[in-house]
Amino acid sequence: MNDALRRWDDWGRGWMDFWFGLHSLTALALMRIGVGIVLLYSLFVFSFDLTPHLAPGNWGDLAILRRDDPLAWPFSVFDWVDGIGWIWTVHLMAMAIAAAFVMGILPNVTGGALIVLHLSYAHRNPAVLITLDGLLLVALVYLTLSPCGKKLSLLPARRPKPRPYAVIMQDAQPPPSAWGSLILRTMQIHLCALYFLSALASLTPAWLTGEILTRYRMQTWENLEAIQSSIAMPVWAVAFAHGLTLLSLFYVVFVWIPRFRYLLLTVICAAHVIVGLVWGLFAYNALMIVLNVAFVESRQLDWLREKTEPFLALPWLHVNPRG
Amino acid sequence: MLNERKQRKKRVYPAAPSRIRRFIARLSERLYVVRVAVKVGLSLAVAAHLGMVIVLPGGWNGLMQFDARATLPHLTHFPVSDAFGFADGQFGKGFILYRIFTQEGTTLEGVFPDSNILPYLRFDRWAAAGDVMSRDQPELHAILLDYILAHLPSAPVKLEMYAGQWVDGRSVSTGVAEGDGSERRYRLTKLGSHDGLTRLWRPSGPKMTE
Repeated sequence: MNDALRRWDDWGRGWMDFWFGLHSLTALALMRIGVGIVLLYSLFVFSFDLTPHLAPGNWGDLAILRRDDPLAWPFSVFDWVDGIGWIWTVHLMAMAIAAAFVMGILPNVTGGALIVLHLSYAHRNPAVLITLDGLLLVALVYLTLSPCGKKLSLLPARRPKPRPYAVIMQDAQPPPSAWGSLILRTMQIHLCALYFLSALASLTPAWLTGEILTRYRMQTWENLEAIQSSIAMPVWAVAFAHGLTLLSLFYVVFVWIPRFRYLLLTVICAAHVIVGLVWGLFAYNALMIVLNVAFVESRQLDWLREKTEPFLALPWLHVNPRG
Repeated sequence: MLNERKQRKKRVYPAAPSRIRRFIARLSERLYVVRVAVKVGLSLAVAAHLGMVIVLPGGWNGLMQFDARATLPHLTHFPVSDAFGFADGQFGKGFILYRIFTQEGTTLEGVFPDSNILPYLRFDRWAAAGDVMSRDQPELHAILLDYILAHLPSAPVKLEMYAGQWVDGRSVSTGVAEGDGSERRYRLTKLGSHDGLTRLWRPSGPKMTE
């Protein structure tokens, strides 16, 4: 084999290893649990305003609100039912399916149903969509397509068929799930792009002067008067805004360097915790922390699971021995 | 089964593999090639898709600042400017304020979304609703008025409604501690007023600014 061919061969092997060589079903399973819990929380909170937001004849006219929906066919399960009772039935069903998704009960099926239901909420009243919904949908699509139910599931995994040379293969490294690996890699790249685009979009005066951090979330007439009178931004707000922008900008570089990866993940998770707690963006930042699990290696997650299992009393969770 | 020597002695020769067996053998050889081809195709498709999504996230190009309608915006949705949840939409660029003149002679002031709503996730959805309502959509303002009136204990003498809009009051070049205080960071626009006696909603023109 000449040099050129070998180079192509190496390049091809590298490409295939990059997309299909990960051994991380634990990461997918953990993300399934995390995303499911955030979704369940979001649905639970939605319960308080189910009637004002989704029932006809409330604060806004649904037909007018739906004019801004960008889909040609904005389908919604809520359009197929009539009356408050049925809206509540669909809502409770969505919560039950989300709970099943968390527990790993047929996650590919329950995940598909959740995507349909999640879009149904979005198309019924697009005016109450928030950025959390978009990110939840992206995560749901990825996890539904992945074998995320093979680990940490309440249902026992199917026993693998006995194969010849089983004794020889017993101690060998379990074969990677090519499909799971592809999904995980896609999620990693998606996450990098999200941070990078976020950093680029935050290069605005409102961000870099720290103004967006000091805006009052809870507007009242008194607050608005106070805002009008105080123009100067506190230095901490400017410094924190710059820190967040830099962190997002360089995430795409440092997360791929093994030496810096865990340091970066620690810092970014700390930033998410601070933003989530101080600014009340708890659900969104919890979801971002969950998605960052995509970058943690499987053997470290498995080690963590083995160590924490006795304390958390989780031996009832079934683990596929081949996974 | 007879061993080979006995087979030869009895002039029994092992049969050549059947056509089906040969076909299966050839297929399994090719299956590896097919599998690799599928993997290469899939990985290239995913890479191309992600590349496209980065260029046009949900129809909006964040780098070159132009909008293009995506075929399936929800599936290619790529939230921009919200890695930490501080998107403009999350905070609500716009909101509704109203003044209620009661029959007892007092004046009540209110905000839509209601600032007392908790938890924050719930408030975020109302803030998104407030943002939509504060836009130039008079039909929605009239419907919101009905909603507010339906939740009041008694009919008011007068109700005035305003739209508040956050504006970027500062530029990066201004500096942190500078600024003469002339910049306004929100703008109020009167949407209209409701007369309690005639029970009529009189919308204001778009140029009426307080």
